[in-house]
Formats: sequence, C-alpha cells, structure tokens
Amino acid sequence: MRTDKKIDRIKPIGWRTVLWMSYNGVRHRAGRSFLTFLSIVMAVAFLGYVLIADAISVQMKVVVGGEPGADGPPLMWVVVISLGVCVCGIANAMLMSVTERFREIATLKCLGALNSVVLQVYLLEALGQGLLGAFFGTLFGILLACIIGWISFGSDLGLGLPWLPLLKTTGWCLLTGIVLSVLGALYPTALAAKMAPIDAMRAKF
Amino acid sequence: MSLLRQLNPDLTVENTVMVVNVKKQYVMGDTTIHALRGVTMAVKRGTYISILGPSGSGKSTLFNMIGGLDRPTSGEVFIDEVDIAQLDPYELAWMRCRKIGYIFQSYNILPTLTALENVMLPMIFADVPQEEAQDRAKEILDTVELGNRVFHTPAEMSGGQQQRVAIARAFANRPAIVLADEPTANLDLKTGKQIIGILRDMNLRFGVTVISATHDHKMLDVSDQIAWVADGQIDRIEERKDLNIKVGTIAGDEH
Repeated sequence: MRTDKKIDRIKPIGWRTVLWMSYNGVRHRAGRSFLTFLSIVMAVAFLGYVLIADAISVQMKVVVGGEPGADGPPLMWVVVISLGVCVCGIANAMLMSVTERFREIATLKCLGALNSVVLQVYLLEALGQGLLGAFFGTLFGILLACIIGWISFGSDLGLGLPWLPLLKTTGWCLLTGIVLSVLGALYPTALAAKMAPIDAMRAKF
Repeated sequence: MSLLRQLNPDLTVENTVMVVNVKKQYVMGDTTIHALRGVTMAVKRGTYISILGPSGSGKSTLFNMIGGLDRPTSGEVFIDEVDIAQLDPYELAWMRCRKIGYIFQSYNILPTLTALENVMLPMIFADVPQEEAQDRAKEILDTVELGNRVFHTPAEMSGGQQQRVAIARAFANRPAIVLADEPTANLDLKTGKQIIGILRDMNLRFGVTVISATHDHKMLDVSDQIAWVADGQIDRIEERKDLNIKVGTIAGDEH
C-alpha cells in the first residue's frame, strides 16, 4: 500500500456507466418518469396537431378552392402557453426526484463522483424522457391532424396532404420536445450537482 | 510544521490521519459559533479509534473534517500525508474514492442497485475493469457473510444486511481510512454487535484505520483508542488497555 501514489486525479467514468446510472434512475421511478413522459407527449402532440391542421386547411383550400389562410393565424399563443406549462411540470417532477435523492447524490459524491457525473446522469435522464416523449407526441399529433383532416375533407385529403410542412413539423416537434425536457431539468440538475455531500448527510426524511 | 514534528518525529509516516491545530467557526447571524477550537491529533495506521462526545461538542465537525467533507477555517488535515485543504475537486474526488471509505448511520445503499453493484460502484469510479470489480466485490461480500445475497436489492435486505453491504462498499477500494458515522444507531443490540464485530475484523484483516463517531458503548470494547471531544476540543485520548475495567462494567450492564 505504501507504494501507492500519494495523490491523483479521478478519471472520467465513461458514458456506459452514466447511461447505466440514468437508466436505473428512470426505471426505479417508473411511475413518475411516465408522468413526465406523458406531459411531454401531450405538449408536443398539441404543437404538432395545430401546425399540421393549419397546413392541411391551407393546402385543401388551394386544392378544393376558397381563400387560403382565411381562418387567420393558428392558436399559436395557446400552444406556447401549453409548452410553458409542460416545462414547469418537468421542472417540478425533476425537482422532486432530486430532493428525493439528496442522500443518494451525496453518497455518490462520497464514493468519488464529480459534480459533472451527477449533472450528466440527470440531464441524460431528462433527455431520454424528452426524446421518447417527443417521438410519441409528434406521432400522435400528426396522426390526429390527419384523421380530423380526413373526416372533414374525405378522400380529397390524399391530393392535398402537405408533405413538406409535414416533414418540417416533425423536425420542429422533436426539437421542441428535447428542448422542453432539458430546459425543465436544467435548474433541478444544477441544484443536484452543486450539492455538498455534507449537506445531504444531515438531510433526514 | 513544528507541531507536526512534535506529534511524530518521523513526520507523518506512520500516521494515516493528522489533524493540526484545526479551528472551525460558523457564523450564524451576529454570533460566531466555535465548533472546533484548535484540535491537534494523530491516528496511527491500522488503529480503530472511536470519537465520543455529547451532541454540540464538535464531534461531528471533527469527524467531517477528517472525512474531507468539510473544510477547516484554519489549520490542516492530512490524510495519508496529503493536506486535503489544498486539493482541487478532481483530487478530492480521487481521495474520497480511493483513500476514504464511508459508513453511514442510515446505510445509504443505492436503492436502484443490487448488493453486488453497490460494492462495485466505488471500484468503477476508481477505473477498475468491470470483471475485476465484479470478482473483487463478490469476494468482499463473502467476507461480510453476504455471499448468498449478491443479487438482492436493498429493499430485499434487513438493516443489518444493508449495513454489511455498506461495510463491503467502504472497504472495496482498500482505503487508508474508513469513517463510520454512528454505524449501529439504527440497529438493535444484537445486530449492532455483529456489525461492530465485522468492522473490527475488517480493520484487523486489511490494516485499515477505522474512525467512528458513536454514542454506542459497545463500540468502546473493540476500539484501540477513544477520543473524548468536549467544547470544541479533544478532552483526552484513552488507550483501550487503560479502560479495561470500565468496559467490563458497561458490557455487564447490557444484560
């Protein structure tokens, strides 16, 4: 033991371990993780639906006739508010998950975890939920818009399905979902990473 | 450095822990609280030392200083010859990972991981290859008699079993010191005795210095030294051989 170097620096733990730790965190709190996931799905679905429904109605007016864009701008401000609510929901859920894990985070730090490890684990958790939520949200939103479009326009929809806006909307929705989840997770994650191990040691539940 | 020399002519070689004139003050509003008023002590390699003192005596503060969890207002704390106040976050993390093992009152086993994974975690942080970490974790779980509980999660284990996982985890990287903060406070008498026995056994087997903060008088029985803390200072340090008669009566009281 005496041949040991007196002091060294800790090595980065590698993405596999980070991935494994975040996966465990999400799995262990499956119920709460699912709620966070659902709120992203719904917010993104709403965004996707509004964008696509608008694109369809514009397109169909070109195909079927009538003045394009007569309905005025879509309900974008409602969408923005719903996205805001979603961010608050995610922040709240993450904050709970952080306070619940005060002791766990402190223990990890005692075992040699750096602030950046805690940061990575939590951001990855949020990112995973965001990605999955954005994917399903986009799917639901666009499907719903197409179904409602098909109900109102019937088989004519096939002529006027706006492919370019469809693709663009998909991209926007995915991006929004990811940004939402990371934005919501930012403050709780920073809180968790900065926490001193000694503070959490005293935390009693 | 003169104080250091007085403590040990060979200059820290034999001492795992050196605390030199450590003071700690907390400012709360207008009042300054002197948690530690200049503590100097040295702990020899392989010693099992218990720190005793009433709450508010500075016992926990001293304990946290030695564990690298808190920084002194003035003075120095050396662990294995390294002044921990001088370390950057990466070095401090390395120190916590490789040189210090922690055992807590409330076990603090990660609930998402199995016993094996919990013991592997500090080794993974220490960059030990996966397979080697697994073998070593199994081995060390065997020595705390949990060889048959390797794949259980904390929810499936009793308090005593969880604390044994915590002990295995604390010794996983063969640290220089193991800090045990009231390790028996949440356990019944019999399990507490068992935990103390295991802790002492590991201490002798690996030659690791064990420092425990405790109220538990069962602990004194196995300690080489007992440090009494009062009013932010070390009141006295007693060797176990001087305490034999007293320990006998305490052990007698338990029945």
